[in-house]
Amino acid sequence: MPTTTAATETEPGIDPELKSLVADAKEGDEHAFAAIYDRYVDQTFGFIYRRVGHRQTAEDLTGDVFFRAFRRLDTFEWQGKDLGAWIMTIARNRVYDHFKSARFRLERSTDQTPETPETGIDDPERVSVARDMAKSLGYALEQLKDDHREVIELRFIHNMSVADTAEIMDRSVGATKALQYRALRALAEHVKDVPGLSEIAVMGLGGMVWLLRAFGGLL
Amino acid sequence: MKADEKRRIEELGQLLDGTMPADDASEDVRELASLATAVHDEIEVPAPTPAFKAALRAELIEGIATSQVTLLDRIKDAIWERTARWRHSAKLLVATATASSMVGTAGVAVAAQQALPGELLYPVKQVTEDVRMGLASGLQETGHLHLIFARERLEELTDGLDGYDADTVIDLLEDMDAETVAGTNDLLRAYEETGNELILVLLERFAEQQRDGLSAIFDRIPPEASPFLDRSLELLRRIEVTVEAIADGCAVCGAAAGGDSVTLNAPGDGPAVSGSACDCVSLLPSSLARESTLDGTLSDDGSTDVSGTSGDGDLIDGDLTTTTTVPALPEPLDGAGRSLDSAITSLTGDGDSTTTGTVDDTTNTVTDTTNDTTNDTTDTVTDTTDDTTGTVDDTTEDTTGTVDDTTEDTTGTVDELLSEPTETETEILP
Repeated sequence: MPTTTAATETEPGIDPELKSLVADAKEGDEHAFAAIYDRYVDQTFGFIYRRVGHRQTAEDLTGDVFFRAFRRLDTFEWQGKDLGAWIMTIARNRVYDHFKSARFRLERSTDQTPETPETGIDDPERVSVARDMAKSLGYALEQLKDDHREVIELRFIHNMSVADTAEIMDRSVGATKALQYRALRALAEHVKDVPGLSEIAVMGLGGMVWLLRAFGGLL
Repeated sequence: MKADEKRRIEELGQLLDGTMPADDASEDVRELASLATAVHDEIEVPAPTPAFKAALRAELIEGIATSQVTLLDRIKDAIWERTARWRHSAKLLVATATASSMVGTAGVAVAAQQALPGELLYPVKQVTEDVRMGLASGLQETGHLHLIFARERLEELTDGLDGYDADTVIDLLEDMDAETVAGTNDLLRAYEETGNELILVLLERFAEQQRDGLSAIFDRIPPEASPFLDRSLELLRRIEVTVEAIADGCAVCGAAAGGDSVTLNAPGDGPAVSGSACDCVSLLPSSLARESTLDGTLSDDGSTDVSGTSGDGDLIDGDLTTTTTVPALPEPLDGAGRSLDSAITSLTGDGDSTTTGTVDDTTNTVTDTTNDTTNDTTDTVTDTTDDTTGTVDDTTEDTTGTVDDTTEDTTGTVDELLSEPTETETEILP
């Protein structure tokens, strides 16, 4: 098994363990790459699944992404980059290639949306309301233009930073901030007629916190 | 972009980052932040199943390990096994006894590995390569060797460039291209058979390394040879495009990889790839994709040969198969012996005292020749693997899904002209 060489140096903001794994994986250590895979497979799969809306396709593409990531690991450098964002960039491009090659459009039917989330609420009525709310929000998200939906998903569903989102979407940080603002405005337009969601948009942050707490501890 | 919108964008960013108290933000921005929080809390990220995760993990580990370690080990083992048989072969004794000029060629052969075109030992080097190719079995081994020899041609070019005339440079470039085409096609066939992704990695890295090497000597090439250098660079570009198309699951090439054969053609020998009407050809300069007909020929054993000359004065002509494919050597020593005999005769026949002395003073046996060749081959394979550490930019990925930030950055100007907020984001997908 190759030994880590450059991984001993620590840099601010970089997980030394992850850096060590990358260094070893670059040397061909399959177990180091497997450890990297363990870290990012959930995020990558989730991103792809939300884009393609089909589990089997998402699994196939996720496999492609990680094989591709290994093939290109030599090109990855830490300079201002996050490995997760780098892998997500590959995933994003792979999804685009998929839609282009298969002549798909980003039109997912609602029956392909992910499984209904577990709310942790016992009251059946509240569960129903919460699920309706999630479903409506998800549906509203589907109505957005592609880059609006993408920036919202990356920022607020996959918890990527503005900088990472900018890298993944190949935009400047400033452009990404502007995009997220416009995307949320567009989403607000779509939810304004949806019961429950309209209250969120109207009441602001404090009101939303109250609303979610009223649903039984979603926060 | 209006100043007011700019302010809201910044407010939203700070509010989401937690660097601005909610009360300090305007009401509409707070609403957007609330909506973002709702998305975060309400939309669940789909999770892969444990079974899928485990299966893909195992597949990755196996794929990496098999392609990197086992492949090279198999090559080395195969070569060693074959040379071991030689060492115990009765034919070796017969050949050694009857071909006196071969006795003692180990020293010559080793010395020849550093020979450059025009030097007396260079023919021995060429024969040694033929022997090595004859020992190889399987497409992966032959493919690797062809690429190693292509790299060797580049090194010869680099090392002796200042002393070569234009014809020598052109010969080397042509030889290099022929090896490149043969090696690439062997490895593409191997990929079709095995689906081993690391084969594509090797091809990508080879193409990048060769391209870098050629670029480094670009300014030193004689003007007469410049078109040939361009052709070599185009060939490497074809490899990148073809490999990338296959790796990306190009609708045509990807399908072909699992079914019809895809064959790389040398520049001037038709489209970049033969075997299917592939769209990826359109990625190439029109000068390379000018021929629309498919010219690959599928032989009975399933391999596709690149052959023939184009009618437009191509720089690379002749039957590439005959120059790069060494026929199987059921009795490899005999063929090698004849070749070496010829080479040694040509060396000693011109009366060069140094060479004659070297040959006469060398008392090693053909066994030693075999061992040295094996060691050299093994080292070269290892070196090549070690050296091929670059990768090829992903042309497909780089050219897809990119939205120019300029669109965003010019929004303000457009907004000002229209006197109302305008979004000018570009749709990425159709």
